[in-house]
Amino acid sequence: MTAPFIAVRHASYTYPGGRLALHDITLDLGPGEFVALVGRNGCGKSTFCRLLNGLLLPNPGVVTVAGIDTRSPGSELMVRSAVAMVFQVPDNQIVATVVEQDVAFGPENLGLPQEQLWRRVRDALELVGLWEQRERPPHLLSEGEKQRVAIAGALAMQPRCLVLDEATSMLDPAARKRVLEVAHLVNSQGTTVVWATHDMAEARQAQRIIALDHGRLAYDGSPAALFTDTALMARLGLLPPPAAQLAAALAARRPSFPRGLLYPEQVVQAVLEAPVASPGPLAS
Amino acid sequence: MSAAVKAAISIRNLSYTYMAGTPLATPALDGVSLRVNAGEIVALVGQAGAGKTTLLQVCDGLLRPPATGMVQVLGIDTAEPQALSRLRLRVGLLFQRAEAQLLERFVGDDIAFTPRQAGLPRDEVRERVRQAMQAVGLDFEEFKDRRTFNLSGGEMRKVALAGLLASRPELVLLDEPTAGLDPESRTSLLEVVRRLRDQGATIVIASSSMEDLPGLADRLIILNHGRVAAEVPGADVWRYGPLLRAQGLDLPELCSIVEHLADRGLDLQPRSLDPDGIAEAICRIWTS
Repeated sequence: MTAPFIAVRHASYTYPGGRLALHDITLDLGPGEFVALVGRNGCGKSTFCRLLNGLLLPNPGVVTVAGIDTRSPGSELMVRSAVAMVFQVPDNQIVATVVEQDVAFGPENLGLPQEQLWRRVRDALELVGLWEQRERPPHLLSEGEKQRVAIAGALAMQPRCLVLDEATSMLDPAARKRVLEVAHLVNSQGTTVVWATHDMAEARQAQRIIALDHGRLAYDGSPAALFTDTALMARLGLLPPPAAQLAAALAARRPSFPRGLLYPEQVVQAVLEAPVASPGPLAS
Repeated sequence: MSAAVKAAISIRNLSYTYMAGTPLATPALDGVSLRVNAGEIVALVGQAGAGKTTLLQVCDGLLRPPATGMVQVLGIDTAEPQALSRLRLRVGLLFQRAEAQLLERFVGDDIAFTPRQAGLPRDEVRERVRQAMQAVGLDFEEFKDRRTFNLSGGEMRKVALAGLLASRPELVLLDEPTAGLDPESRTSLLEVVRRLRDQGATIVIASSSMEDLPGLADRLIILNHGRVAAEVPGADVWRYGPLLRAQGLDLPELCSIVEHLADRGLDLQPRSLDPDGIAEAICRIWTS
Protein backbone atom coordinates (compact mmCIF):
# COMPACT_ATOMS: atom_id res chain seq x y z
CA MET A 1 0.00 0.00 0.00
CA THR A 2 1.49 3.33 -1.04
CA ALA A 3 1.07 6.35 1.21
CA PRO A 4 -2.17 8.22 0.51
CA PHE A 5 -1.73 11.26 -1.67
CA ILE A 6 -5.05 12.69 -0.54
CA ALA A 7 -6.47 11.66 2.82
CA VAL A 8 -10.09 12.46 3.67
CA ARG A 9 -10.94 11.95 7.35
CA HIS A 10 -14.48 12.21 8.71
CA ALA A 11 -15.15 15.05 6.31
CA SER A 12 -18.58 16.67 6.29
CA TYR A 13 -19.81 19.78 4.55
CA THR A 14 -22.92 21.88 5.10
CA TYR A 15 -23.78 24.64 2.64
CA PRO A 16 -24.71 28.09 3.97
CA GLY A 17 -28.44 27.77 4.47
CA GLY A 18 -28.13 24.46 6.23
CA ARG A 19 -28.17 21.77 3.55
CA LEU A 20 -25.89 18.92 4.62
CA ALA A 21 -24.14 17.87 1.39
CA LEU A 22 -21.49 15.47 2.72
CA HIS A 23 -21.51 13.45 5.90
CA ASP A 24 -18.54 11.80 7.58
CA ILE A 25 -16.52 10.69 4.55
CA THR A 26 -13.27 8.86 5.21
CA LEU A 27 -11.10 7.53 2.39
CA ASP A 28 -7.66 7.72 0.78
CA LEU A 29 -6.67 8.47 -2.79
CA GLY A 30 -3.34 6.97 -3.77
CA PRO A 31 -0.87 8.36 -6.29
CA GLY A 32 -1.64 7.30 -9.87
CA GLU A 33 -5.12 5.93 -9.19
CA PHE A 34 -8.01 6.34 -11.65
CA VAL A 35 -11.13 6.69 -9.54
CA ALA A 36 -14.69 7.11 -10.80
CA LEU A 37 -17.09 9.02 -8.57
CA VAL A 38 -20.76 8.13 -9.05
CA GLY A 39 -24.19 8.74 -7.51
CA ARG A 40 -27.49 10.50 -8.09
CA ASN A 41 -27.87 14.16 -9.05
CA GLY A 42 -27.42 16.03 -5.77
CA CYS A 43 -25.66 13.17 -3.90
CA GLY A 44 -22.60 15.28 -3.11
CA LYS A 45 -20.21 14.46 -5.98
CA SER A 46 -19.43 18.09 -6.81
CA THR A 47 -19.06 18.99 -3.15
CA PHE A 48 -16.64 16.09 -2.68
CA CYS A 49 -14.61 17.20 -5.71
CA ARG A 50 -14.37 20.71 -4.30
CA LEU A 51 -13.09 19.42 -0.96
CA LEU A 52 -10.19 17.73 -2.74
CA ASN A 53 -8.59 20.98 -3.89
CA GLY A 54 -9.64 23.26 -1.10
CA LEU A 55 -12.36 25.13 -3.01
CA LEU A 56 -14.50 24.04 -0.09
CA LEU A 57 -13.16 23.21 3.36
CA PRO A 58 -14.50 20.33 5.43
CA ASN A 59 -16.39 21.17 8.60
CA PRO A 60 -16.00 19.09 10.61
CA GLY A 61 -13.28 16.78 9.34
CA VAL A 62 -9.91 16.99 7.62
CA VAL A 63 -8.65 16.75 4.06
CA THR A 64 -4.91 16.56 3.51
CA VAL A 65 -3.18 16.81 0.14
CA ALA A 66 0.40 15.47 0.17
CA GLY A 67 0.26 15.81 3.93
CA ILE A 68 -0.92 19.42 3.93
CA ASP A 69 -4.19 20.23 5.68
CA THR A 70 -6.40 22.14 3.21
CA ARG A 71 -7.66 24.27 6.12
CA SER A 72 -4.24 25.55 7.09
CA PRO A 73 -3.76 29.24 6.25
CA GLY A 74 -1.66 29.82 3.16
CA SER A 75 -2.04 26.28 1.84
CA GLU A 76 -4.28 27.26 -1.13
CA LEU A 77 -1.56 27.71 -3.74
CA MET A 78 0.17 24.45 -2.92
CA VAL A 79 -3.11 22.49 -2.68
CA ARG A 80 -4.56 23.92 -5.90
CA SER A 81 -1.42 23.40 -7.90
CA ALA A 82 -1.32 19.80 -6.71
CA VAL A 83 -5.02 19.13 -7.35
CA ALA A 84 -6.48 20.73 -10.48
CA MET A 85 -10.18 20.79 -11.32
CA VAL A 86 -12.15 20.70 -14.54
CA PHE A 87 -15.84 21.61 -14.37
CA GLN A 88 -18.92 20.55 -16.31
CA VAL A 89 -19.22 23.71 -18.39
CA PRO A 90 -15.87 24.77 -19.90
CA ASP A 91 -17.09 28.33 -20.53
CA ASN A 92 -17.09 28.80 -16.76
CA GLN A 93 -13.36 28.26 -16.53
CA ILE A 94 -11.93 29.68 -19.74
CA VAL A 95 -10.69 33.20 -19.08
CA ALA A 96 -8.49 34.31 -21.98
CA THR A 97 -9.29 35.21 -25.58
CA VAL A 98 -6.58 33.05 -27.14
CA VAL A 99 -6.23 29.32 -26.44
CA GLU A 100 -2.53 29.34 -25.47
CA GLN A 101 -2.96 32.35 -23.19
CA ASP A 102 -5.80 30.60 -21.43
CA VAL A 103 -3.63 27.55 -20.84
CA ALA A 104 -0.79 29.81 -19.63
CA PHE A 105 -3.01 31.61 -17.14
CA GLY A 106 -2.52 29.19 -14.23
CA PRO A 107 1.25 28.61 -14.50
CA GLU A 108 1.86 32.35 -15.08
CA ASN A 109 0.55 32.87 -11.58
CA LEU A 110 3.22 30.51 -10.30
CA GLY A 111 5.86 33.00 -11.49
CA LEU A 112 7.67 30.51 -13.71
CA PRO A 113 10.45 31.63 -16.09
CA GLN A 114 9.07 32.29 -19.60
CA GLU A 115 10.79 29.35 -21.24
CA GLN A 116 9.53 26.89 -18.66
CA LEU A 117 6.06 28.42 -18.77
CA TRP A 118 5.68 28.04 -22.54
CA ARG A 119 7.12 24.56 -22.50
CA ARG A 120 4.38 23.59 -20.07
CA VAL A 121 1.74 25.22 -22.30
CA ARG A 122 3.06 23.39 -25.31
CA ASP A 123 3.21 20.03 -23.53
CA ALA A 124 -0.33 20.43 -22.22
CA LEU A 125 -1.77 21.48 -25.59
CA GLU A 126 0.01 18.65 -27.38
CA LEU A 127 -1.26 16.16 -24.86
CA VAL A 128 -4.91 17.17 -25.40
CA GLY A 129 -4.38 17.40 -29.16
CA LEU A 130 -4.94 21.16 -29.53
CA TRP A 131 -1.46 22.51 -30.28
CA GLU A 132 -2.57 23.37 -33.83
CA GLN A 133 -5.43 25.44 -32.41
CA ARG A 134 -3.24 27.41 -29.99
CA GLU A 135 -3.81 30.80 -31.62
CA ARG A 136 -7.58 30.52 -31.99
CA PRO A 137 -10.09 32.24 -29.73
CA PRO A 138 -11.65 29.62 -27.42
CA HIS A 139 -15.22 30.75 -28.17
CA LEU A 140 -14.86 29.54 -31.76
CA LEU A 141 -13.98 26.01 -30.65
CA SER A 142 -16.50 23.21 -30.22
CA GLU A 143 -17.65 22.34 -26.69
CA GLY A 144 -15.42 19.26 -26.69
CA GLU A 145 -12.40 21.29 -27.77
CA LYS A 146 -13.17 23.91 -25.11
CA GLN A 147 -13.28 21.18 -22.50
CA ARG A 148 -9.86 20.01 -23.68
CA VAL A 149 -8.57 23.60 -23.39
CA ALA A 150 -9.83 23.59 -19.81
CA ILE A 151 -8.04 20.30 -19.19
CA ALA A 152 -4.85 21.67 -20.79
CA GLY A 153 -5.10 24.67 -18.46
CA ALA A 154 -5.35 22.30 -15.51
CA LEU A 155 -2.46 20.15 -16.78
CA ALA A 156 -0.21 23.15 -17.31
CA MET A 157 -0.17 23.45 -13.53
CA GLN A 158 1.47 19.99 -13.57
CA PRO A 159 -0.92 18.76 -10.93
CA ARG A 160 -0.44 15.43 -9.21
CA CYS A 161 -4.19 14.94 -9.32
CA LEU A 162 -6.79 15.93 -11.90
CA VAL A 163 -10.41 16.11 -10.75
CA LEU A 164 -13.00 16.14 -13.54
CA ASP A 165 -16.49 16.97 -12.32
CA GLU A 166 -18.88 15.59 -14.96
CA ALA A 167 -16.53 17.06 -17.52
CA THR A 168 -18.12 15.12 -20.38
CA SER A 169 -21.83 15.26 -19.57
CA MET A 170 -22.54 18.09 -22.01
CA LEU A 171 -20.35 16.70 -24.81
CA ASP A 172 -21.28 14.57 -27.80
CA PRO A 173 -20.02 10.97 -27.78
CA ALA A 174 -17.02 11.61 -30.05
CA ALA A 175 -15.83 14.53 -27.90
CA ARG A 176 -16.58 12.56 -24.75
CA LYS A 177 -14.45 9.66 -25.91
CA ARG A 178 -11.58 12.04 -26.71
CA VAL A 179 -11.72 13.69 -23.28
CA LEU A 180 -11.81 10.30 -21.56
CA GLU A 181 -8.80 9.18 -23.62
CA VAL A 182 -6.92 12.29 -22.50
CA ALA A 183 -7.76 11.48 -18.87
CA HIS A 184 -6.43 7.94 -19.29
CA LEU A 185 -3.30 9.25 -21.01
CA VAL A 186 -2.62 11.67 -18.18
CA ASN A 187 -3.26 8.89 -15.69
CA SER A 188 -0.79 6.59 -17.50
CA GLN A 189 1.85 9.25 -16.89
CA GLY A 190 1.27 9.00 -13.16
CA THR A 191 -1.38 11.63 -12.43
CA THR A 192 -4.20 10.62 -10.11
CA VAL A 193 -7.55 11.08 -11.85
CA VAL A 194 -10.92 11.53 -10.14
CA TRP A 195 -13.68 11.20 -12.73
CA ALA A 196 -17.21 12.14 -11.60
CA THR A 197 -19.80 10.76 -14.00
CA HIS A 198 -23.32 9.42 -14.49
CA ASP A 199 -22.15 7.22 -17.33
CA MET A 200 -21.46 3.73 -16.05
CA ALA A 201 -19.76 2.83 -19.34
CA GLU A 202 -17.16 5.46 -18.40
CA ALA A 203 -17.07 4.43 -14.75
CA ARG A 204 -16.34 0.77 -15.58
CA GLN A 205 -12.97 1.85 -17.03
CA ALA A 206 -11.80 3.05 -13.62
CA GLN A 207 -9.75 0.87 -11.27
CA ARG A 208 -11.94 1.92 -8.41
CA ILE A 209 -15.41 3.38 -7.99
CA ILE A 210 -16.52 5.57 -5.13
CA ALA A 211 -20.30 5.90 -4.83
CA LEU A 212 -22.05 8.54 -2.74
CA ASP A 213 -25.63 8.34 -1.54
CA HIS A 214 -27.24 11.36 0.10
CA GLY A 215 -23.84 12.71 1.04
CA ARG A 216 -22.56 9.46 2.56
CA LEU A 217 -19.95 7.04 1.29
CA ALA A 218 -21.99 4.10 0.03
CA TYR A 219 -19.41 2.06 -1.87
CA ASP A 220 -15.67 2.03 -2.42
CA GLY A 221 -14.31 -0.84 -4.52
CA SER A 222 -14.03 -2.40 -7.95
CA PRO A 223 -16.48 -1.66 -10.79
CA ALA A 224 -17.31 -5.36 -11.22
CA ALA A 225 -18.28 -5.85 -7.57
CA LEU A 226 -20.49 -2.76 -7.63
CA PHE A 227 -22.26 -3.54 -10.90
CA THR A 228 -23.12 -7.08 -9.81
CA ASP A 229 -24.56 -5.98 -6.45
CA THR A 230 -28.10 -5.40 -7.69
CA ALA A 231 -29.52 -4.38 -4.32
CA LEU A 232 -26.87 -1.71 -3.76
CA MET A 233 -27.13 -0.49 -7.36
CA ALA A 234 -30.88 -0.03 -6.91
CA ARG A 235 -30.37 1.82 -3.63
CA LEU A 236 -27.89 4.14 -5.34
CA GLY A 237 -30.23 4.70 -8.29
CA LEU A 238 -27.61 3.32 -10.68
CA LEU A 239 -27.84 0.95 -13.62
CA PRO A 240 -24.87 -1.19 -14.73
CA PRO A 241 -23.43 -0.46 -18.17
CA PRO A 242 -25.67 -1.93 -20.93
CA ALA A 243 -23.30 -4.84 -21.68
CA ALA A 244 -23.28 -5.80 -17.99
CA GLN A 245 -27.11 -5.64 -17.92
CA LEU A 246 -27.26 -7.99 -20.89
CA ALA A 247 -24.72 -10.33 -19.27
CA ALA A 248 -26.87 -10.42 -16.13
CA ALA A 249 -30.02 -11.10 -18.17
CA LEU A 250 -28.23 -13.99 -19.88
CA ALA A 251 -26.87 -15.38 -16.61
CA ALA A 252 -30.39 -15.27 -15.17
CA ARG A 253 -31.61 -17.42 -18.07
CA ARG A 254 -28.63 -19.73 -18.28
CA PRO A 255 -26.78 -20.35 -14.98
CA SER A 256 -23.61 -21.53 -16.76
CA PHE A 257 -23.16 -18.11 -18.43
CA PRO A 258 -20.08 -16.37 -16.94
CA ARG A 259 -20.69 -13.77 -14.21
CA GLY A 260 -19.34 -10.27 -13.89
CA LEU A 261 -18.84 -9.43 -17.58
CA LEU A 262 -18.69 -5.65 -18.11
CA TYR A 263 -17.66 -4.98 -21.71
CA PRO A 264 -19.47 -5.61 -25.02
CA GLU A 265 -16.56 -7.64 -26.42
CA GLN A 266 -16.63 -9.93 -23.36
CA VAL A 267 -20.36 -10.55 -23.80
CA VAL A 268 -20.03 -11.22 -27.54
CA GLN A 269 -17.19 -13.66 -26.83
CA ALA A 270 -19.09 -15.47 -24.08
CA VAL A 271 -22.21 -15.78 -26.23
CA LEU A 272 -20.21 -17.20 -29.12
CA GLU A 273 -18.39 -19.65 -26.84
CA ALA A 274 -21.49 -20.85 -25.01
CA PRO A 275 -22.38 -24.44 -25.91
CA VAL A 276 -25.54 -24.65 -28.02
CA ALA A 277 -28.01 -27.40 -28.77
CA SER A 278 -27.50 -27.02 -32.49
CA PRO A 279 -24.15 -25.82 -33.84
CA GLY A 280 -25.79 -24.41 -36.98
CA PRO A 281 -25.92 -20.68 -36.23
CA LEU A 282 -22.40 -20.70 -34.80
CA ALA A 283 -20.84 -22.43 -37.77
CA SER A 284 -19.17 -19.28 -39.11
CA MET B 1 -46.43 6.41 -45.06
CA SER B 2 -49.99 7.04 -46.18
CA ALA B 3 -51.00 10.55 -47.02
CA ALA B 4 -53.92 10.24 -44.59
CA VAL B 5 -51.52 10.49 -41.63
CA LYS B 6 -51.42 14.09 -40.48
CA ALA B 7 -48.07 15.83 -40.41
CA ALA B 8 -47.11 17.42 -37.09
CA ILE B 9 -44.10 19.04 -38.72
CA SER B 10 -43.55 19.55 -42.40
CA ILE B 11 -40.38 21.29 -43.54
CA ARG B 12 -39.32 21.98 -47.08
CA ASN B 13 -35.93 23.22 -48.10
CA LEU B 14 -35.24 25.11 -44.88
CA SER B 15 -31.99 27.00 -44.50
CA TYR B 16 -31.03 29.06 -41.47
CA THR B 17 -27.95 31.19 -40.91
CA TYR B 18 -27.11 32.86 -37.62
CA MET B 19 -26.10 36.51 -37.93
CA ALA B 20 -26.80 36.34 -41.64
CA GLY B 21 -25.41 39.25 -43.62
CA THR B 22 -22.66 39.98 -41.10
CA PRO B 23 -19.02 38.88 -41.17
CA LEU B 24 -19.94 36.47 -38.37
CA ALA B 25 -22.59 34.68 -40.43
CA THR B 26 -22.74 31.02 -39.36
CA PRO B 27 -24.84 28.66 -41.45
CA ALA B 28 -26.69 26.14 -39.25
CA LEU B 29 -29.27 24.52 -41.55
CA ASP B 30 -28.80 24.02 -45.24
CA GLY B 31 -31.72 22.82 -47.36
CA VAL B 32 -33.44 20.61 -44.79
CA SER B 33 -36.65 18.84 -45.81
CA LEU B 34 -38.41 16.48 -43.44
CA ARG B 35 -41.75 15.40 -42.13
CA VAL B 36 -42.78 14.25 -38.67
CA ASN B 37 -46.13 12.50 -38.51
CA ALA B 38 -48.62 13.16 -35.75
CA GLY B 39 -48.11 10.67 -32.92
CA GLU B 40 -44.55 9.74 -33.89
CA ILE B 41 -41.43 9.82 -31.75
CA VAL B 42 -38.61 11.05 -33.96
CA ALA B 43 -35.02 11.49 -32.88
CA LEU B 44 -32.76 14.10 -34.45
CA VAL B 45 -29.25 12.79 -34.05
CA GLY B 46 -25.89 14.17 -35.05
CA GLN B 47 -22.68 15.48 -33.59
CA ALA B 48 -22.45 18.81 -31.80
CA GLY B 49 -22.97 21.57 -34.37
CA ALA B 50 -25.07 19.44 -36.73
CA GLY B 51 -28.06 21.82 -36.50
CA LYS B 52 -30.30 19.88 -34.11
CA THR B 53 -30.98 22.73 -31.70
CA THR B 54 -31.56 25.21 -34.52
CA LEU B 55 -34.11 22.90 -36.10
CA LEU B 56 -36.01 22.49 -32.81
CA GLN B 57 -36.00 26.23 -32.20
CA VAL B 58 -37.34 26.92 -35.67
CA CYS B 59 -40.17 24.43 -35.04
CA ASP B 60 -40.94 26.14 -31.73
CA GLY B 61 -40.94 29.54 -33.39
CA LEU B 62 -38.14 30.76 -31.14
CA LEU B 63 -36.05 31.46 -34.22
CA ARG B 64 -37.79 33.78 -36.64
CA PRO B 65 -39.31 32.39 -39.81
CA PRO B 66 -36.58 31.64 -42.27
CA ALA B 67 -35.91 33.60 -45.38
CA THR B 68 -35.78 30.42 -47.40
CA GLY B 69 -37.92 27.33 -47.07
CA MET B 70 -41.29 26.47 -45.61
CA VAL B 71 -42.03 25.33 -42.08
CA GLN B 72 -45.47 24.09 -41.12
CA VAL B 73 -46.05 23.12 -37.52
CA LEU B 74 -49.38 21.53 -36.59
CA GLY B 75 -50.73 22.75 -39.90
CA ILE B 76 -49.71 26.36 -39.28
CA ASP B 77 -47.15 28.07 -41.50
CA THR B 78 -44.69 29.65 -39.05
CA ALA B 79 -44.20 32.60 -41.41
CA GLU B 80 -47.85 33.65 -41.01
CA PRO B 81 -48.63 36.60 -38.79
CA GLN B 82 -50.04 35.39 -35.45
CA ALA B 83 -48.47 31.95 -36.04
CA LEU B 84 -46.51 32.13 -32.80
CA SER B 85 -49.43 33.01 -30.57
CA ARG B 86 -51.45 30.24 -32.18
CA LEU B 87 -48.65 27.73 -31.57
CA ARG B 88 -47.48 28.86 -28.14
CA LEU B 89 -49.70 26.56 -26.07
CA ARG B 90 -49.65 23.72 -28.55
CA VAL B 91 -45.87 23.32 -28.84
CA GLY B 92 -43.50 22.80 -25.90
CA LEU B 93 -39.71 22.99 -26.04
CA LEU B 94 -37.38 21.70 -23.34
CA PHE B 95 -34.06 23.52 -23.57
CA GLN B 96 -30.74 21.76 -23.38
CA ARG B 97 -29.86 23.76 -20.30
CA ALA B 98 -33.04 23.73 -18.29
CA GLU B 99 -31.93 26.54 -16.00
CA ALA B 100 -32.03 28.85 -19.03
CA GLN B 101 -35.81 28.48 -19.27
CA LEU B 102 -36.76 28.83 -15.62
CA LEU B 103 -37.83 32.30 -14.60
CA GLU B 104 -40.03 32.32 -11.51
CA ARG B 105 -38.63 32.34 -7.98
CA PHE B 106 -40.84 29.51 -6.79
CA VAL B 107 -41.23 26.13 -8.41
CA GLY B 108 -45.05 26.16 -8.49
CA ASP B 109 -45.15 29.60 -10.11
CA ASP B 110 -42.64 28.58 -12.71
CA ILE B 111 -44.63 25.52 -13.75
CA ALA B 112 -47.85 27.58 -13.78
CA PHE B 113 -46.35 30.28 -15.98
CA THR B 114 -47.65 29.26 -19.41
CA PRO B 115 -51.15 28.16 -18.32
CA ARG B 116 -51.49 31.48 -16.42
CA GLN B 117 -50.35 33.44 -19.46
CA ALA B 118 -52.99 31.59 -21.45
CA GLY B 119 -55.59 32.94 -19.03
CA LEU B 120 -56.77 29.59 -17.71
CA PRO B 121 -58.90 29.65 -14.56
CA ARG B 122 -57.06 29.42 -11.23
CA ASP B 123 -58.32 25.96 -10.30
CA GLU B 124 -57.45 24.58 -13.70
CA VAL B 125 -53.94 26.01 -13.47
CA ARG B 126 -53.44 24.49 -10.02
CA GLU B 127 -54.68 21.10 -11.19
CA ARG B 128 -52.42 21.16 -14.24
CA VAL B 129 -49.41 22.08 -12.10
CA ARG B 130 -50.21 19.28 -9.66
CA GLN B 131 -50.51 16.70 -12.45
CA ALA B 132 -47.42 17.90 -14.27
CA MET B 133 -45.33 17.71 -11.09
CA GLN B 134 -46.64 14.22 -10.39
CA ALA B 135 -45.72 13.13 -13.92
CA VAL B 136 -42.07 14.15 -13.50
CA GLY B 137 -41.78 12.79 -9.98
CA LEU B 138 -41.81 16.06 -8.02
CA ASP B 139 -44.03 15.94 -4.96
CA PHE B 140 -46.51 18.86 -5.21
CA GLU B 141 -46.58 19.81 -1.52
CA GLU B 142 -42.83 19.34 -1.05
CA PHE B 143 -41.67 21.26 -4.09
CA LYS B 144 -44.26 23.89 -5.05
CA ASP B 145 -42.88 26.51 -2.66
CA ARG B 146 -39.21 25.60 -3.06
CA ARG B 147 -36.96 28.24 -4.56
CA THR B 148 -36.38 27.40 -8.21
CA PHE B 149 -32.76 28.45 -8.37
CA ASN B 150 -31.70 26.56 -5.23
CA LEU B 151 -32.57 23.21 -6.84
CA SER B 152 -30.00 20.74 -8.15
CA GLY B 153 -29.39 20.54 -11.90
CA GLY B 154 -31.49 17.40 -12.25
CA GLU B 155 -34.37 18.90 -10.25
CA MET B 156 -34.32 22.08 -12.38
CA ARG B 157 -34.66 19.96 -15.47
CA LYS B 158 -37.69 18.23 -13.95
CA VAL B 159 -39.26 21.62 -13.18
CA ALA B 160 -38.68 22.74 -16.78
CA LEU B 161 -40.25 19.53 -18.07
CA ALA B 162 -43.23 19.93 -15.71
CA GLY B 163 -43.69 23.48 -17.02
CA LEU B 164 -43.82 22.09 -20.51
CA LEU B 165 -46.32 19.37 -19.55
CA ALA B 166 -48.58 21.87 -17.79
CA SER B 167 -49.37 23.53 -21.09
CA ARG B 168 -50.40 20.10 -22.47
CA PRO B 169 -48.69 20.55 -25.81
CA GLU B 170 -49.53 18.45 -28.84
CA LEU B 171 -45.96 18.69 -30.07
CA VAL B 172 -43.11 18.21 -27.61
CA LEU B 173 -39.56 19.18 -28.58
CA LEU B 174 -36.79 17.94 -26.29
CA ASP B 175 -33.22 19.19 -26.69
CA GLU B 176 -30.69 16.71 -25.22
CA PRO B 177 -33.16 15.86 -22.47
CA THR B 178 -31.01 13.26 -20.70
CA ALA B 179 -27.64 15.05 -20.70
CA GLY B 180 -26.36 15.37 -17.15
CA LEU B 181 -29.19 13.34 -15.61
CA ASP B 182 -28.50 10.41 -13.31
CA PRO B 183 -29.68 6.98 -14.53
CA GLU B 184 -32.82 7.04 -12.39
CA SER B 185 -33.93 10.48 -13.58
CA ARG B 186 -33.11 9.41 -17.11
CA THR B 187 -35.31 6.34 -16.90
CA SER B 188 -38.18 8.36 -15.48
CA LEU B 189 -37.79 11.03 -18.18
CA LEU B 190 -38.01 8.36 -20.85
CA GLU B 191 -41.15 7.03 -19.12
CA VAL B 192 -42.69 10.51 -19.31
CA VAL B 193 -41.91 10.60 -23.04
CA ARG B 194 -43.61 7.24 -23.61
CA ARG B 195 -46.65 8.34 -21.61
CA LEU B 196 -46.91 11.54 -23.63
CA ARG B 197 -46.91 9.50 -26.82
CA ASP B 198 -49.58 7.19 -25.42
CA GLN B 199 -51.67 10.31 -24.77
CA GLY B 200 -51.34 11.24 -28.44
CA ALA B 201 -48.52 13.80 -28.44
CA THR B 202 -45.87 13.98 -31.14
CA ILE B 203 -42.33 14.03 -29.82
CA VAL B 204 -39.07 15.15 -31.37
CA ILE B 205 -35.89 14.47 -29.39
CA ALA B 206 -32.57 16.02 -30.33
CA SER B 207 -29.66 13.99 -29.04
CA SER B 208 -25.98 13.53 -29.69
CA SER B 209 -26.04 10.31 -27.69
CA MET B 210 -27.68 7.32 -29.32
CA GLU B 211 -27.87 5.32 -26.10
CA ASP B 212 -31.55 5.79 -25.17
CA LEU B 213 -33.03 6.12 -28.62
CA PRO B 214 -33.41 2.71 -30.29
CA GLY B 215 -36.13 1.42 -27.96
CA LEU B 216 -37.87 4.78 -27.94
CA ALA B 217 -37.84 6.50 -31.32
CA ASP B 218 -39.79 5.28 -34.34
CA ARG B 219 -37.30 6.93 -36.63
CA LEU B 220 -33.87 8.52 -36.36
CA ILE B 221 -33.10 11.45 -38.62
CA ILE B 222 -29.37 12.01 -38.89
CA LEU B 223 -28.18 15.58 -39.33
CA ASN B 224 -24.69 16.46 -40.48
CA HIS B 225 -23.50 20.02 -40.99
CA GLY B 226 -27.03 21.32 -41.32
CA ARG B 227 -28.24 18.71 -43.80
CA VAL B 228 -30.33 15.58 -43.46
CA ALA B 229 -27.72 12.86 -44.03
CA ALA B 230 -29.86 9.76 -43.55
CA GLU B 231 -32.92 8.32 -41.92
CA VAL B 232 -32.95 5.08 -39.97
CA PRO B 233 -35.83 3.07 -38.47
CA GLY B 234 -35.55 2.92 -34.65
CA ALA B 235 -36.43 -0.78 -34.34
CA ASP B 236 -33.44 -2.16 -36.23
CA VAL B 237 -30.96 0.66 -35.87
CA TRP B 238 -28.21 -1.92 -35.26
CA ARG B 239 -28.30 -2.83 -38.96
CA TYR B 240 -27.01 0.67 -39.76
CA GLY B 241 -23.72 0.63 -37.84
CA PRO B 242 -21.47 1.52 -40.79
CA LEU B 243 -23.76 4.35 -41.89
CA LEU B 244 -23.90 5.82 -38.37
CA ARG B 245 -20.16 5.53 -37.87
CA ALA B 246 -19.60 7.32 -41.18
CA GLN B 247 -21.62 10.18 -39.63
CA GLY B 248 -19.40 10.24 -36.54
CA LEU B 249 -22.04 8.50 -34.43
CA ASP B 250 -21.72 5.29 -32.46
CA LEU B 251 -24.24 2.52 -32.14
CA PRO B 252 -25.59 2.22 -28.62
CA GLU B 253 -23.70 -0.43 -26.68
CA LEU B 254 -26.41 -3.13 -26.84
CA CYS B 255 -26.94 -2.51 -30.54
CA SER B 256 -23.21 -2.90 -31.11
CA ILE B 257 -23.38 -6.33 -29.42
CA VAL B 258 -26.29 -7.34 -31.70
CA GLU B 259 -24.31 -6.06 -34.68
CA HIS B 260 -21.15 -7.98 -33.69
CA LEU B 261 -23.11 -11.18 -33.20
CA ALA B 262 -24.75 -10.70 -36.61
CA ASP B 263 -21.29 -10.22 -38.15
CA ARG B 264 -20.30 -13.55 -36.60
CA GLY B 265 -23.35 -15.29 -38.09
CA LEU B 266 -25.83 -14.96 -35.22
CA ASP B 267 -28.75 -12.94 -36.58
CA LEU B 268 -30.79 -12.38 -33.43
CA GLN B 269 -33.76 -10.38 -34.70
CA PRO B 270 -34.59 -9.27 -31.15
CA ARG B 271 -38.15 -8.23 -30.39
CA SER B 272 -36.88 -5.25 -28.44
CA LEU B 273 -33.46 -3.65 -28.06
CA ASP B 274 -33.31 -3.79 -24.26
CA PRO B 275 -31.27 -6.34 -22.24
CA ASP B 276 -34.25 -8.69 -21.80
CA GLY B 277 -35.28 -8.55 -25.45
CA ILE B 278 -31.76 -9.31 -26.61
CA ALA B 279 -31.17 -12.00 -23.97
CA GLU B 280 -34.38 -13.75 -25.08
CA ALA B 281 -33.28 -13.65 -28.70
CA ILE B 282 -29.88 -15.14 -27.77
CA CYS B 283 -31.56 -17.90 -25.72
CA ARG B 284 -33.85 -18.71 -28.67
CA ILE B 285 -30.77 -19.32 -30.80
CA TRP B 286 -29.07 -21.33 -28.05
CA THR B 287 -32.03 -23.66 -27.76
CA SER B 288 -33.02 -23.81 -31.41
